[in-house]
Amino acid sequence: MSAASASEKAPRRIDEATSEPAWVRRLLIGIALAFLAVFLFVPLVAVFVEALKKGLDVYLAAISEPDAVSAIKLTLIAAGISVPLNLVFGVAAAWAIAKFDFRGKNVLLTLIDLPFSVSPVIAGLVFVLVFGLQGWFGEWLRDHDLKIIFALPGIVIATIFITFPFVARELIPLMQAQGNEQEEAARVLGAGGWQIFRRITLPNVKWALLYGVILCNARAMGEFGAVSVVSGHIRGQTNTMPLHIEILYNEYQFAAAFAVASLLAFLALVTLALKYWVERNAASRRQVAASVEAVPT
Amino acid sequence: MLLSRALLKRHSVLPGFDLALGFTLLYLSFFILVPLSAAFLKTFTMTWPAFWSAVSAPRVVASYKLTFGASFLAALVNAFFGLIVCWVLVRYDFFGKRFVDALVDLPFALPTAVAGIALTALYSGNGWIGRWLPFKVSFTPVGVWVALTFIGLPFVVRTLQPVLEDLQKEVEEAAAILGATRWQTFTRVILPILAPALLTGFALAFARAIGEYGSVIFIAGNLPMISEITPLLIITKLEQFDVPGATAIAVVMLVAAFLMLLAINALQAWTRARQGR
Amino acid sequence: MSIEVRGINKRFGATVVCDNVDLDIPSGELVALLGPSGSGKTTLLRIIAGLEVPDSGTVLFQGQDATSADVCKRRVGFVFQHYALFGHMTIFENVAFGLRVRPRATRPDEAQIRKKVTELLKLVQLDWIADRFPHQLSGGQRQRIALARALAVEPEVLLLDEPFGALDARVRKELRRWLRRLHDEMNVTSVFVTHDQEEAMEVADRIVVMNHGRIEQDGPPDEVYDHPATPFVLQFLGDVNIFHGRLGQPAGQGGDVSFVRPHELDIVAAAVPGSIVATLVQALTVGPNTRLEFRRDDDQAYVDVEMPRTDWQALRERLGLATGSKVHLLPRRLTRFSADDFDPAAMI
Repeated sequence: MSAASASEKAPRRIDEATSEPAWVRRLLIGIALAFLAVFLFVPLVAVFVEALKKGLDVYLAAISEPDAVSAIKLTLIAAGISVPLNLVFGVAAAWAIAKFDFRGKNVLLTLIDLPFSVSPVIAGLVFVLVFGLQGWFGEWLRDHDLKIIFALPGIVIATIFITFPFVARELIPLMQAQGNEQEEAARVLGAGGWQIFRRITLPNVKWALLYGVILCNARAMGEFGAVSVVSGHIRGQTNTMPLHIEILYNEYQFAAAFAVASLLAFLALVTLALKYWVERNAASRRQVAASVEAVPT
Repeated sequence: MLLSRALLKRHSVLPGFDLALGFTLLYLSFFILVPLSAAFLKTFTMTWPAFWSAVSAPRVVASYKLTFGASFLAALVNAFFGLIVCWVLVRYDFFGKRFVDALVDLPFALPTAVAGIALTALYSGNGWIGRWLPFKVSFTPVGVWVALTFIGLPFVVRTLQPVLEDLQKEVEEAAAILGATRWQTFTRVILPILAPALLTGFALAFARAIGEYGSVIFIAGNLPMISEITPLLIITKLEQFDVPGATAIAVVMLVAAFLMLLAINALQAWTRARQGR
Repeated sequence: MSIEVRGINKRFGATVVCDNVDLDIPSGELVALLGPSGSGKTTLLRIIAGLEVPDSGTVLFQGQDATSADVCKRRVGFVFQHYALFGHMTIFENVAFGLRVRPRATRPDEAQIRKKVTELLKLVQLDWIADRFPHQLSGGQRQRIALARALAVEPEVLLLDEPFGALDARVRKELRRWLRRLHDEMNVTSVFVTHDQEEAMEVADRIVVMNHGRIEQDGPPDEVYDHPATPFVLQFLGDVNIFHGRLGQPAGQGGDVSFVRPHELDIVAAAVPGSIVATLVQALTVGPNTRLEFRRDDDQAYVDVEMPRTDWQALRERLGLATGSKVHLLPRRLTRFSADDFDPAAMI
């Protein structure tokens, strides 16, 4: 190819130094999508298909029959109590950990991560050990006619244990990355503690906070193992939605079980959609910043 | 106040330390420290022979083998495919990528019981997937493995993602200019950098799988000595009102989980030191 | 190996980064691509390296078209601004990398690799840290290792992207001198990118001044400094005073813009043709030189004059100068451009 003609037409496209040949790319994408389809997507779709298998009437009947309704109510109450409490905890823990340097911080972080490494069944068990009839406080509770295990309080406590890390874990890395400068500047300008928190910190973490709460709620409503241990499975009284699903399934009422399950699956989808939306907001801001630096000169 | 003086390493002008930390510690004590110590203390009321026979009964040992074995395999598979999924999400663009990225978090958001019955329906003899397979999945260890792979999936992907995103392009360019083929660059330069995060993701998936209950019990069928997982045994003992027995097994699992946490932390610290961060 | 660049065009989105660039680099020369951010110098370097693909144009190595050659086959060495060392490998392995990834046919054996790496580490005077890791090294040491690594594959062209940009001023000065000496010893065709005109003038055989994707001037340092082809080059290399219109006439008249460097203005006792009247505002002595700030009496514009401190001390004594004194300034040399060539927006 002579120099003259070469300079007149665009050079043959060569692969950039840091990318794979096209066939490798397509293969990898194919493998990834196939794996995700089999393990994630198909099960998700199966829930809805099985729920509607016997028709819409059966579906609606399943979710409106009394035991199901009381299960839904109980789930909502348990979540309604646990999530706000965990929100307050998450914010307090994140404030202490992210904005201050103190001894034992690592221990605290490990403790906060503990529910993730403990089996939910064990979590339920330990609360039985503490509050159950043979437990530490068992006698005292019976004497005062208070029921924790096999009643709502037990369910709430177990749920709180399982889900309290979520808000904290969303906030801590973000607040650590954001640093203290803005808050210190506010302090120097004379702002008080709550003012600093409300006006400076909170607006900076609002999306992460929202996502943490949503995730916490989804897990709270869907918790199965721990609640299974502490609830006693009393139909109409101490059955949350996941437990109700188990009962229906064990009684071979598959369509009904999937019907109730589909409500929780729908909640999961809403959770994911919200996460996607939250990340898109954060991403577009990051992209604008990055594109300014991206053009090499 | 007291907490600040005792614990703060560096003076801070920001207020609220005592209040925040105080509340945090109170909350944690009530929900974690007190209950967990109850578990240990309860086992100390058992005699050693009683404890030992509870945790080493054949059925229990079979459950250990199944739980730890299936969890290990599931985490391994997740490590391999999770790397591919993460690579594809970070490096490539394709239709529906954002949707796929969000979907990866499904095991986090979907209740375990819902996942459990969905997987059972899929892999049963006449389920959508089960009918195509020449071997039985439900009521076997394979079913357990399938469920554990499902719930561990996000761990590897989400742990790898930030590391892969932060990977300096220049390092790959340097390797290419020095003459390395793309595969050489991947194995000699990129993979070693990803290895710590990959290991951490694997460990997290493994730890989670060991304790998993809801998604497994439906597809496992819970046949003693075959497809019974350890968490289920704990519940079985509780239903038989054998609280000490259940607690003993729980202690074994807690110790394993604690050792795993230590290992993860040590691994992370070691790799951070080695790479100078 | 000589490099020829013909008609290179490159845009990123709507921004034209390289605008029909032509350049010749004879074999063995040490050339600086000098310009402000956004001038296209780094993009041009990366196109030569094969890290970017031009929209059109060619790159020829020793007469051969290399525009579409694979990055890993170009026989170029590249040194990045932030070193891009492999953090998980020892220094020895970093330098050996290029040799280890050679195809089996051309791969040297372990003894040869060891010999070559040790030789290179001695060359950059860092043979004593072969077993350390990059994070244990200082910035200057890392950059020298990056250079050793690039040289290990015996490239025919060495390309450096702002190699000293991330380093302290003192380390930068040392490494500049060191790079010059290294080049004299090895005689590899080298191109380096910088925005520091002092660095370019000190190190390079030839300076290519770039602005907005175009080459403004291309020549030896003295030529570029003393005989700038455009106002941009004049202003980018060294300080300059800008005068509109002809000296001695009120500003704004006449179509010319004149430039005088601060050290090319004399202070004279009495008015002469071509001189201007100015009042001394400030005298600052920094190191070996004194910088004087004057204000023109006619249009109140500021004029900077620079001279060795001893000259200033003598002058001050002789003429009894102090802040507020009126003097006459006479340019020894004027560079004039027509107002059409002068684009104030192009100045920094």
